[in-house]
Amino acid sequence: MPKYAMVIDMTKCAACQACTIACEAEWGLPPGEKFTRLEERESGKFPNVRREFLLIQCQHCDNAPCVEVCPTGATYKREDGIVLVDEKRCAGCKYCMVACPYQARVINHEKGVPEKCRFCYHRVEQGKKPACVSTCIGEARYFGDLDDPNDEIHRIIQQKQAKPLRGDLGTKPSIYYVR
Amino acid sequence: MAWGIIIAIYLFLAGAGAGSFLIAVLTERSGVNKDNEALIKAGTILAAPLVAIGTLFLVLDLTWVEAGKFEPWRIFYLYTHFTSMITWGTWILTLFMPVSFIYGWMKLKNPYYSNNLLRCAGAVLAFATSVYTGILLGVVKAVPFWNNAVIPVLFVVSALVTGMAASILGSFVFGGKTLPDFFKPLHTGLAVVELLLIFFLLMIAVNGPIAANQSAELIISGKYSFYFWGVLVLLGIILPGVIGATASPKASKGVKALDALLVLLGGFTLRALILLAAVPVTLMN
Repeated sequence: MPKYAMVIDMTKCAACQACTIACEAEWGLPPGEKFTRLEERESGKFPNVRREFLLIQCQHCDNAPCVEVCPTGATYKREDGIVLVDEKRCAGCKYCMVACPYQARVINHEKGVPEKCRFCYHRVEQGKKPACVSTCIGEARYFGDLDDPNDEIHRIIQQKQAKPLRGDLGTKPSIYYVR
Repeated sequence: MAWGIIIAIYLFLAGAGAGSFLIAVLTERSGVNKDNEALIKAGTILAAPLVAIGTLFLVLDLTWVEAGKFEPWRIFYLYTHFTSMITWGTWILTLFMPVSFIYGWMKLKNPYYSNNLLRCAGAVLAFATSVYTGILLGVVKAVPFWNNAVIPVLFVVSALVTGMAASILGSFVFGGKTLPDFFKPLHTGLAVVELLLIFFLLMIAVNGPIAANQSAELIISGKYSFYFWGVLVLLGIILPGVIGATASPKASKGVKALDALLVLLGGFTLRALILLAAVPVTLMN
């Protein structure tokens, strides 16, 4: 059984947001609904200023707060590590939105369900990469299988010292960041 | 954050309903007499409708309801996943409403009616209703301002305070004239404890992670500071606390009703502030 994971290299990211658009197109999301968002922060004092970007989406946590707080079991984690939402089972209480430290959920106002990144499971099952990974011009995103010892993802995580976002929260995310 | 004013209304009404039941039961245990029967009637019969109206707001906030769909069967899935505080809450509400309604109905017909099983079950469920709402927020690690043990205790105290106010107002409707003697020290005591708990909550937040700091700032000096200092602390706790502590037991109904209304205003403001000041953990650290 594969264990999917992603590396996002922010040092390679040009902040073009092609990933956000590719994702919206892949899933046919209504206007304004994004599964991956770009956060930015300015720090320092002139002339020593710094502008930082961070791409945020569902981290497909191994210890996912959304899975734990979901009162209906609509949010579940697959054996391959992908966290999904069963739209028919969701009661719409929004506890998942409140409990997600990454604020990765967005409401689909047509369906009336809080949605999020699905790691493009339909593409991955066909051996393809998720839409955000294939579209990335700077090759800032890498998708792989942690259960495959020959997968390049191990080398990338180690070489670039990629780390999960707010690992201190104990959520055990499946996305590793190079910053 | 995803939860706003509608959820604050729910938290307030559920707290007031649970609290009025607890206050009525407490009064009943001190001995039923001619002077307090109106209050016991009011406190027990108010619980179920208050919680039910609150629950209605809860349902209105569900995303499929917002989306204009009619799919009520989704509510039944809420009973199934016990790692979630909402599943616990759904069971608690489902049991508390009928139990408190039956007890309230019997009390309404005869204030001297007594049933240990119903009363104990009702009291336990009322306590559960008031405390689970606090744990609901307390377990959320994503919001450092909530993620502590003060919130559940504060919610229980707030439930008792607002429940007392609701049952006093209700007792006037049922022709009550005087309040039980222990209400005066209880009122003042609860006001002091509530102020202390709010102080502790803010102290922890000020000295906590960045996000908790931002929450505290929103409340103490930021965009909610008027509602905090003016509406909650002054009008909602200190003023009624002073009225309650100084007014003679024979004070007019008008004074007591004003006191109760201010307490209710404060109770709602407290729930709203705690929800609205939620700031999720910082990611870009």
